Amino acid sequence: MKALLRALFGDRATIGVVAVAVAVAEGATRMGDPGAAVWSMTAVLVGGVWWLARR
Amino acid sequence: MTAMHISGAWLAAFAGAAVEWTEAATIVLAIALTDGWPLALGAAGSGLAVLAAATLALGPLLALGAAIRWLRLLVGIFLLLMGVRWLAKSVARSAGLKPLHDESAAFARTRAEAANARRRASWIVVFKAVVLEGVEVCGIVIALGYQTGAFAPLAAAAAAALVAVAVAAFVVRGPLTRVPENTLKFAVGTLLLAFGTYWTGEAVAGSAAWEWGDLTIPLLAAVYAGSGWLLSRVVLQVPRGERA
Repeated sequence: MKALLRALFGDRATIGVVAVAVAVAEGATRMGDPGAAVWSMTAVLVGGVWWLARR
Repeated sequence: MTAMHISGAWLAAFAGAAVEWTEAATIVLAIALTDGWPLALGAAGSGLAVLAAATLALGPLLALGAAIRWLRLLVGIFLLLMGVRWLAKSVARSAGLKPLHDESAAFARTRAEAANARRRASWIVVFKAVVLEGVEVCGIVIALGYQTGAFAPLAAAAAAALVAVAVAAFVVRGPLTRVPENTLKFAVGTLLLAFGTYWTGEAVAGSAAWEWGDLTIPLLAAVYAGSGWLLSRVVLQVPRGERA
């Protein structure tokens, strides 16, 4: 079951990267800038790929 | 959803399935050549039946709640989780931080293990390999199918990849080492991230946030592909003699 969940959702680091990206988007949206929200989420995800790849 | 979105999703489902089925085929083949085809095909068929039942049950079930914002958000996040993982893994392998997935080594390892194992253990190895590799395929088909509304064509893409890999494995009778797994993984990772970013962004910030309209997904895919290329070829590149 653990292997199945890991295959579907990844490890804690992956979940953390995506959680930060979504939180950044949500925060920027609440500040009234939806355009910045989505592109800042994209930037966080690119940073996440860099971090996950070099771990 | 436009035809461009559906064809991108179809491509992601086909390529993603091809990668996963290739890895599963290596295990099935190794067990088939050690314990016989009936055992290997029986276990693989049982695994595929479980996956098909889960996909057919969950796909239409998700479509019932198509208008629910949080469900769209969850599916978008799920695509991000898969996309970021696939792209990071592919970047790490291209850069030389991690070794490339070696089908020949996996084949030899499985055959050696099967030679000393009971037949029941071999059956479980095949069943588990098919389910664990296939569950990602199911996830991609269900998530992309839910968001594009093209569930049947995407399930057909995964099935077409399965047939292609099965025929190739049967003909070659060895691990499919010539499948460019890492390149496919890179392409699928960028597409899943592009779709996931688009739909998560839409759920969080509203559709107006994406001012490029239909061109947003190809644009996002280009951003992720370009970033991935830069990371693997420049930023994280390991010199040839020091590669993993």
